[in-house]
Amino acid sequence: MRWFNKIATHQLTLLVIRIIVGGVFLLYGVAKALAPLDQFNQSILDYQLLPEFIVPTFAVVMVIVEIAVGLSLILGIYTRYAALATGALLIVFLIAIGQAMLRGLALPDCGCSGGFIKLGETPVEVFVRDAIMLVMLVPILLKTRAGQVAPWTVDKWFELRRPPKV
Amino acid sequence: MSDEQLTKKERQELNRQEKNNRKANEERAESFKKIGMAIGLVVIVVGIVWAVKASRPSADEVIDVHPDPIEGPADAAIVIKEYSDFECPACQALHPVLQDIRKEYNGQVRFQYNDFPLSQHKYSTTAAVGAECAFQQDKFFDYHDLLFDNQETWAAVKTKDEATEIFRGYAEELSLDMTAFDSCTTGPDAADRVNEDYAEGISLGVNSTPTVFVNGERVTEVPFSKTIREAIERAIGAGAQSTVSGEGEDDTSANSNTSDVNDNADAVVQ
Repeated sequence: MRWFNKIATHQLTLLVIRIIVGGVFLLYGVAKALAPLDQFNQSILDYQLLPEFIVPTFAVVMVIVEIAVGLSLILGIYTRYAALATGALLIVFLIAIGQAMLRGLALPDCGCSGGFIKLGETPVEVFVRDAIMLVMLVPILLKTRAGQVAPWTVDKWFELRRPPKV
Repeated sequence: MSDEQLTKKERQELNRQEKNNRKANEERAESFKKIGMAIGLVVIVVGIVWAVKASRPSADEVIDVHPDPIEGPADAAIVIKEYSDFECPACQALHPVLQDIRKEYNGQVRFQYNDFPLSQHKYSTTAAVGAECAFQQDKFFDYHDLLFDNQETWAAVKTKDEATEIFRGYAEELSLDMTAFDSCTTGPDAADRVNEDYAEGISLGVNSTPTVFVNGERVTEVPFSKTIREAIERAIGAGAQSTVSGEGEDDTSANSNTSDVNDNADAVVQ
């Protein structure tokens, strides 16, 4: 397993993971912001988890959080916290989609892009995609354990600028 | 001696505290910078997105890419443009309201229908394609009425095939040429038109259905029966004023508004 660990926490792997997962969040966040908000609201309602009055606020917060998390992950600003937040979001998405599948709810659109892009993915495909992204976060969390800083991040840059410890 | 020792200890303690303070300050400054960076970037991205959204052309700047179904005289002073989804219940509710308004202002208004099928509605695109195909045989508004009047029936069916069969039935009911209708619904042109309408709506900032424009003025407030009439009256007032005086800031803008919409009208008629 040591070779696996080596590859998984290799600096290039970490960079690629951050760009892919962060990029997906950033792009979908921007797409949601550009699309008619009503469509995203409707997609959230389709999951039948939240009361209607809270949905418009939730939608706006979601868009901003996704953009923030995506940017932080790509640039590596508080990389560990960004990865943890992304993981938490993905778990929420997985629960939302999972319960919709179990309850047999019709999801005409996963709402991932707020209706901006219509990929026509089935709920199962979205579930698998989110699960893969969740697993992809593990190496980042492994690498940033115990105050370690991931390479090629803003975090690293700040660390290097710190005056040397005496 | 003990005094000196104490002060030495104190000095050491002080030094350590100072060091700790400095370290804490540095750390605080670093987190401020990092958090500031993150917030700044988010603000920039959201700002850009918002600017892109806001800079989209307004209703009277967009010229239609293809002729839309129109009812009413081509030279009418008032143009009502509706962006609608055949499966949306609010659009169905607006349907009789618009019919009344068109009757009330008969000869003065031109009504233009645009498709804006929302992704959450299972059959609205298929319905819109059917209506586009009825439009090719000059039966758009009859078909449109049938779709809205029977929305509960076809929106409730389980499969797309059933819905398609119902939509075919409406075409038969209107005695359309079924060979032409079938080749139209299965071909790409009608679907392209629906998509173009949708894209046009997005470019106008349409984000809900129904969205109505009266001479370029967007009407979103409910009750539509009241707000659309008010917008029409305003447009009529603006038109009358501009022909009387032709002066004043408001008048000129209203004037240019109307002429832009008329330009659109020409584009549509061609």
